[in-house]
Amino acid sequence: MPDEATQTLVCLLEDIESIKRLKARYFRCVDERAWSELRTLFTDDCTFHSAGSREIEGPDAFIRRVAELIHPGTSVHQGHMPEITLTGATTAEGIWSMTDYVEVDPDRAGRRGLVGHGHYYENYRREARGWVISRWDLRRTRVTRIAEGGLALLSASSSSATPTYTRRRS
Amino acid sequence: MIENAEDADLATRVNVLWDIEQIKQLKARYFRLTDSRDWVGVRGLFTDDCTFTSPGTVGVDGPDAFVQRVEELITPGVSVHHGHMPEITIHDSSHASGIWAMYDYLELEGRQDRAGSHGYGHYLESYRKDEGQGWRISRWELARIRVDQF
Repeated sequence: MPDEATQTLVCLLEDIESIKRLKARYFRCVDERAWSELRTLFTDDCTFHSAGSREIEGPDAFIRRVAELIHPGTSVHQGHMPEITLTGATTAEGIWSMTDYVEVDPDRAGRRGLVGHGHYYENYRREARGWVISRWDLRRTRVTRIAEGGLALLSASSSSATPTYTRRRS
Repeated sequence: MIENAEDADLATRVNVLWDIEQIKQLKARYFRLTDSRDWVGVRGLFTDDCTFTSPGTVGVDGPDAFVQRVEELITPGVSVHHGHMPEITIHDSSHASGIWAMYDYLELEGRQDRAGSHGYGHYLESYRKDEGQGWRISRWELARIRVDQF
C-alpha cells in the first residue's frame, strides 16, 4: 500500500489532469458549437468576466452571448501552458494561455472576425459530476481584427495601434 | 522522463510526475510573466547562478542582467510567447532538465530596423530545487530555428 504522501500526490495529479481535460472539452465544445455539452462544464452559479464587457451571470446567458458572437462562422480556440493549483478538497484555480481565431460569416459591419491572445483566470469546483468551471475571466493581451482583405491591429495591452501585418484571404 | 523508471518504487515515480507538473507550471509562469511585463516575477523564476545562452543575450551575466536585456529587447511593444511539447527529465529530487518547442510573436514600437517578428525554436534548460525553494531555472538556452522579421 503506498504511503499517505504518495496517495495525496496521486490525487492531486488526477485532479490536475481532470481539470486539463475539462478545459480541453471547453475549447472543443465552443469550436464544435456543442452548446449543450458546453453547458455541462460550468457550475450553475458560474460568473463570466471579460475586460471591456459587462459581467455575465450564469452559463445560459454566457453561451447565448458566445453563440451570438461567433456563430455562424468558424472558430479555433487553443489553450496552452496551464498553471493549475488545488486550493481545497473541492476547489481549484487555473491560468491558461489562450489563442483564438474567430471568423464570422457573413461580414458584420465590415468585420470578419479576430485573432486574439490572452489568458484565462479561472476557478474550478468539484461537484458530484466531476470538476466544472465556477468562475471564468478572460484577459486579452492582444487582438487583431480580420478586416476586409487582411488583419489589422484592433487593440493591445500596450499603447500601439499601428497595423502590423496582413493576411490575404485566399 | 525518469532515468531507470522501471527500477523506481511507486512513491518515487509519483514524485517524478509531480515534479514534472511543477516544472511545466514554472515554464508557464515564465511565458505569462514575460508577456505581462512582470519583471520582478520573471526574476524570481531563476536561480542566482543561472546562465543564459542565445544570440540575444551575449554578455548577459546572471538573471538580473537577463531580465534587463529582455526588457530592452521586447519593450515597448507587445509579445506573445508559447511553449509546447515539453521533454522533462528528472535526474534526482533536486535536478532536472527540459526541452521546449517555442513560438514567439514580437511587435516592437519605435524601432528603425524592424517592426517585429515571428520566431520558432527550442529552449534547452536545466532546473534546480534549492533548500526552501520550489523548482527554478538554473540554465537557460534558446536555440532558434527560424525568425521571420517584418
